[in-house]
Amino acid sequence: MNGVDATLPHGGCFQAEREALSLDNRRAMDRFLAGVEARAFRMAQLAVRNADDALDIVQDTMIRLTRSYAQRPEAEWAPLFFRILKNRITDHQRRSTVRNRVFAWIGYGTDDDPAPDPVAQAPGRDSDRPERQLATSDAMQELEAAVHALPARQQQAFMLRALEGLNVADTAQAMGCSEGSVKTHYSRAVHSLRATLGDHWE
Amino acid sequence: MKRQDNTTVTPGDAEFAARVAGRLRDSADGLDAQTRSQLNQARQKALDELSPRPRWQRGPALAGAATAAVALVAVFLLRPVADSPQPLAPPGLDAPDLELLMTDESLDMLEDLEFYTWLAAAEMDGGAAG
Repeated sequence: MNGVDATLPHGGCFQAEREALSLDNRRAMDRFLAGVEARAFRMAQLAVRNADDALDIVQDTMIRLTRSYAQRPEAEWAPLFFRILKNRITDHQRRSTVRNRVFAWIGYGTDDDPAPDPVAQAPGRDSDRPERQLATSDAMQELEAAVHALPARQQQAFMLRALEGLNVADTAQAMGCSEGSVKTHYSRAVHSLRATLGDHWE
Repeated sequence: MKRQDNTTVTPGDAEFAARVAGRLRDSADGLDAQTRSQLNQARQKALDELSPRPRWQRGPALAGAATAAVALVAVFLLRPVADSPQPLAPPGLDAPDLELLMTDESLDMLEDLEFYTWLAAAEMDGGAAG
């Protein structure tokens, strides 16, 4: 690649320019994803309560964003990313419901014979292990449980507004609803969390 | 504590939300090394999408595999079983559910599919033996 620009005819310059743009785009996307990945993971983990599933969801979200929206303006990436994340979480939750029905049908997990789910029995990651969970404070566990217990739309509004810091318009775009709905879901989430955690957090 | 209505966020609510968000942010910043490493790998895999790929590696091959997987499962679940008193599909599980269960562009369900096939076969074997 050295010295390509100065020596090649127009086609070569065009190619080099395109490669430079592509490299810039890749760097910008790398920065963006690196900036949101940990919080996105926590959002997914709180929603699905499983670290491995959360990791899959975040990875899938990253791939879909880069595959379909990398050429869009950077300012649009955050709402798009969280829109995809939300859809993936919802999809995961719906699929889990169907999967549980299949397990029940073929004999697993019925009330009469609560056989262990072999997938759930498989060894998890570090953050799922008891000693790791013990390290998490009681207050944090209560917070996680309270956030998880929120209705899905309230949970999304709270996480996007409070944790991710998206404004109302971007949150509305990410959630696929009106700005008024975002405000309603957010305030209800805050009131609910405050009522649940009040003793520990106020 | 008195509130005007359930859509109003008071300064106290905002302060509370900021505190909660701060704790959640801290927990995200404090992810263990294994998770951070896996997130990094996931990011690099996603960034590979920005590299040009040969045409044969693109969508159609994956779409074909997904279609074949769905067809295989449909045949397996819906084929008639001569002397089985069991229904052919789970009660309440209709075509959209099956589609939801089986279709996934990332093909992660293929692993589950293999598992379900094995599980169902084991179930039938067990039933036949007992």
